[in-house]
Amino acid sequence: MKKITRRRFLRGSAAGISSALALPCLEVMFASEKAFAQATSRTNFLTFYVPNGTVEPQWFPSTGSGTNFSLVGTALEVFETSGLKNDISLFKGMTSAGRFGSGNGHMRAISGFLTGSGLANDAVTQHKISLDQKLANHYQQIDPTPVHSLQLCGNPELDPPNNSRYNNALKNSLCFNSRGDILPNKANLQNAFDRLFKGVDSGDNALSLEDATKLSVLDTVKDDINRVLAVASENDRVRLEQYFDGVREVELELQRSTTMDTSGMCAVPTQNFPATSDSTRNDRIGNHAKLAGKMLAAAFSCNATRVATYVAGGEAAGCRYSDIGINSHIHNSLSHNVNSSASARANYHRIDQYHSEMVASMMTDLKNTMGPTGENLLNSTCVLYGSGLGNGENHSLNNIALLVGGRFGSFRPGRFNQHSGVNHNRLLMALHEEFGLGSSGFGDNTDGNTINI
Amino acid sequence: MPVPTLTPTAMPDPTVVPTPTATPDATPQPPQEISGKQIFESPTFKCADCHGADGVSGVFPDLAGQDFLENYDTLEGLSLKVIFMAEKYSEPSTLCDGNSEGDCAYAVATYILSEFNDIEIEPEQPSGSSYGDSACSITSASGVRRLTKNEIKHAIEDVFSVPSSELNSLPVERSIGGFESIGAAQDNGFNLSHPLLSSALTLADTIMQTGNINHSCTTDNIRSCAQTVFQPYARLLFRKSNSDVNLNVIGALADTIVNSQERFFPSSNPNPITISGDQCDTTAQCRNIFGSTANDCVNSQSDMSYCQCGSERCDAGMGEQSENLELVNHALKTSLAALLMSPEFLFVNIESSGEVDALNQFDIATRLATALWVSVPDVNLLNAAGRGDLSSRENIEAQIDRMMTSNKFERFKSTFFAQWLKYDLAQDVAIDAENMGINNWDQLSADMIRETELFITHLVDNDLPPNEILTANYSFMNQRLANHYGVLGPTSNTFERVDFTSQDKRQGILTQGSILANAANGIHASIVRRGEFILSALMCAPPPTPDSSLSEEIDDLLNQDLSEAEKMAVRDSRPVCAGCHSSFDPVGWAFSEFDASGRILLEDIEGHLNNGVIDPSGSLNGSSFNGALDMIQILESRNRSSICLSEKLLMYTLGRPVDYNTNAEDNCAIQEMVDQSMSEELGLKTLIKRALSHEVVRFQGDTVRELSSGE
Repeated sequence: MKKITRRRFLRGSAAGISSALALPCLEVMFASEKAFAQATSRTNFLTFYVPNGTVEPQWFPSTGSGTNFSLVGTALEVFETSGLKNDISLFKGMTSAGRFGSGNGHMRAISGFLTGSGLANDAVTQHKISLDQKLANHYQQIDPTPVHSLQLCGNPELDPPNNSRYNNALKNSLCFNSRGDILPNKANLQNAFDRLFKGVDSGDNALSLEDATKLSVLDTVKDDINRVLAVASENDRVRLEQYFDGVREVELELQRSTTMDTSGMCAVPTQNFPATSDSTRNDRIGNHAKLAGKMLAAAFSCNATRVATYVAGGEAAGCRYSDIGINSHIHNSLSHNVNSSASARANYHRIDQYHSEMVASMMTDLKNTMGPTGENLLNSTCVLYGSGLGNGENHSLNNIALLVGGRFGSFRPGRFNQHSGVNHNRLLMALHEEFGLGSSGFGDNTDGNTINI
Repeated sequence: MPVPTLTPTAMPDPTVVPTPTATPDATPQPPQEISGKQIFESPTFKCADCHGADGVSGVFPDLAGQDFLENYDTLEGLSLKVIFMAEKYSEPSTLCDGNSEGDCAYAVATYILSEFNDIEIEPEQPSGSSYGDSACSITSASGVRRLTKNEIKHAIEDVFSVPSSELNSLPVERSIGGFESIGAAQDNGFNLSHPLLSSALTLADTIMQTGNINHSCTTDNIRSCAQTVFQPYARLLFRKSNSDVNLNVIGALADTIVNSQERFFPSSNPNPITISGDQCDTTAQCRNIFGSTANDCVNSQSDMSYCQCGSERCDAGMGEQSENLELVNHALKTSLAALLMSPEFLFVNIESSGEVDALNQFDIATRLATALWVSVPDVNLLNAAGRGDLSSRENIEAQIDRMMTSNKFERFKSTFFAQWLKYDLAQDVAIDAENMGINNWDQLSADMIRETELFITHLVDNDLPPNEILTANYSFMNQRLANHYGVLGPTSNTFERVDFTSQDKRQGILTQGSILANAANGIHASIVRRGEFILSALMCAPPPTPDSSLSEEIDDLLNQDLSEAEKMAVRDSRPVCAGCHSSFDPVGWAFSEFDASGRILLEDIEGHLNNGVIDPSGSLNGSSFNGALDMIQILESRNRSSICLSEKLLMYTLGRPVDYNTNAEDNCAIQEMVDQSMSEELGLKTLIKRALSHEVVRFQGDTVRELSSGE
């Protein structure tokens, strides 16, 4: 069986997102039948997180259950108008796993959303591994992708530190690696693009001068760190090892990109990305999120990565929503006035709708993009969308917004599931099981007591 | 509704300083007649009310278990905590009459450790000090930390005289307690190394192009030559003596590159520079290869271009060597990038031996430079370290005096004070400008930040008393800001000093817009946030985060449509809330006469504050107040400014959490500093000098104390 490399395939196709759509799946493109079978079993995982809570009563339908519900008038209406209603299921009435930890409400909300665990306190610098990272680690073990995972965001702003003795990074802490370190969210899409598609256009030659130089520097820095580690005290080792691991990760990504075998069809998107930095506030996240969605669809189709998160903005901070004319307040300010101000509540609900439009756009791109298995990508992707806070006005961790979309495992889309105070980690545990990560539980609940999804 | 009088009965004010005698006696004795159990369970001391009789069943944090013991594993530390908590929550009692406060606290601490944690207490003499004239023993180490983003940037600017904007791509620093230098908060992983790699290579390119790196390296001598060339720079970056700088891996990298020509310059890549070939397209390329003497790329459009140095070809007389110049240059550039990513540059306090020990001379130099210059030491300071001059406080203070005269000291003012007081965040506050009739908030918020910057610079440069931070009867404004405040004086947009009259109702930093706006929630000023900020930042007594078991109760309260005054009254009526809120709600309330933009509030239009009534009066622990100026006097009388400044300064400098209230050695060191400043009436600048030359700054210990969010 002849193997056709993706690079070779691309030479005969037009570049651009559109060319990635509707391409046929060719088993011949895989190195082996085993590789083909493996590719079919990989579930991509995309999480979209909303900080500061939602107007939850208007987020979900007020009536209906099971398959009998309407999204008209809710924050999720766009899923109905976009023909995605049967690709999603709603989970109402769940309590954030962060509720069972201690500390600042914002921090407990975001740090619990994908870890299913409550913070020990809000000064900790490490927490428990998040589900996205556990899945990405798993994939790197069995079928590596060039990029381990991506942590993207629309507005990268970190809530300014204050004199309370908490660790302010916990307000942007959706993802934690296996050591429990916080993985920051990045808004610079060009950087993410360069990482994802670095190997695609490099040709079949050896390393470029730039990459060869970088690898040489990294190799030397690793030697240097090891030399220092040899004399460092036990207490000091942790932070130096973090640095070593980071350097090693950069090195691995460079190496993977040079030997990139995407075993699938793939076209590099050609969009110009907005010049968003990783540090300054971005008040226009709508187009940013949609471009990120297109980039991720291409990345999933290329097997450049299979796991990504997108955070609209950090907890307790937040941007204005200039794209939809909400300029007077930042997101968190509005959230703290939804009970007392009708206009704040109306604007906040509009922002809830706007977030849904972003997610719907991402899902539509996935649906319109052919994946390695020859089916559209939404059929092999789990989309998790929601917020770790319920009503942001009072930092409530009850009644959080949760939606699961896509097709994977035995997940049943098109349903309105209602619960009453159930720890949302039971939903994460169900995903954990569907992802093939085992049934021994996840997060703070290790009893395997999942909910039906 | 009448304005509530917030006098929590017998709720002591946490801003009241535990007196120095509160520190457990240097030779603590087990109590003879006091029962720790009796005190713990007494209804007046309230320990069991909040923690549970068993220490773990109450709403307050557990007094047993690993987490607890990690923070309070000594009788001294726990005793201090007991004193602080009693000051905060307990009611007057006769249980301890006739005994010192320290003895009572010691009894309670003994009870907690022995009864709840099964620890056998054996009275012992404290080890005492072995560190010269200091009475304070030091065990909390400043563990290894990374240079902050700004420290890295300034170091490269100072050492190589090149702009460092390339490093803006490094991640935003995280913080604990507001300070970015706290090692535990720093991100040292992929998100640091990924952008740093690209930045280091670009910066190395820029540095080589300046031509300041003079060398005569060839492919034959590249290993030793690279080490020699970079030695003086590495000495500054690594903060070491010349003999301790180890550049073996840097030399090896350069050697590897010139011996792997095929890897780096395969035939398909751009040709190496040759005498007869096409040498260049731009002058910058020539400078990259031949240094700053290159002034032109002659015939750049042709395939016979060459680099010109002065009036001659740059390669004149170089013979065949010139064929490898690009390779040599690439090797040096790559080595320099590795130097900029070296852990010896990026991390401080690495070679901690694990023993309580004095910092070596170079580590002291680093600590001074990072604190005062937000950079690495200069040659003068390293030479002083090399001579052993930094072993005496007198010499250290002489160096600090020198460093304070440098322009680089401006970085200290804008870094330390901004991270402490957060005044620079005013520009990020989104107020409801339209409804407030403000059409120039962006300019005004920038003016407010400038006001505070000038105010701080004035206090430091003139070595004025620390309490003027709170009580100065003047500030600095331009006309736009003065008009916004309703203060008379400036007639242009040039900032000038304005002396307040009593009608202005302003005094010190707490009535500056940069501070007032920062505690707004976007529409209204927040009573809770203003009070919490003052307690945390200026009294160094941050209130604890509400326990998660209180979530429902907080939800209930916040969901009610109540004015701020009514919410305060509800909090005051519920002991579980009042325990903390009674200490800072009144503080925030006193500033309720200022709106979210820092203006004097003339009416409570929406009834948000007090159903239409503006009356910022109340009482705090028996002290009545009517507005911000009264509250400032109450706070100033607590005599907390110097203590809090010292605590924040130590935290910023040591890169570890520092806590006057709960850590015995921090308490001791800070009290010693403050005692000195009080007895000598030191100004702000001198207090900073005394703090940075204090014993506690010069030692490191064996316990890297991470911060707990416990109360």
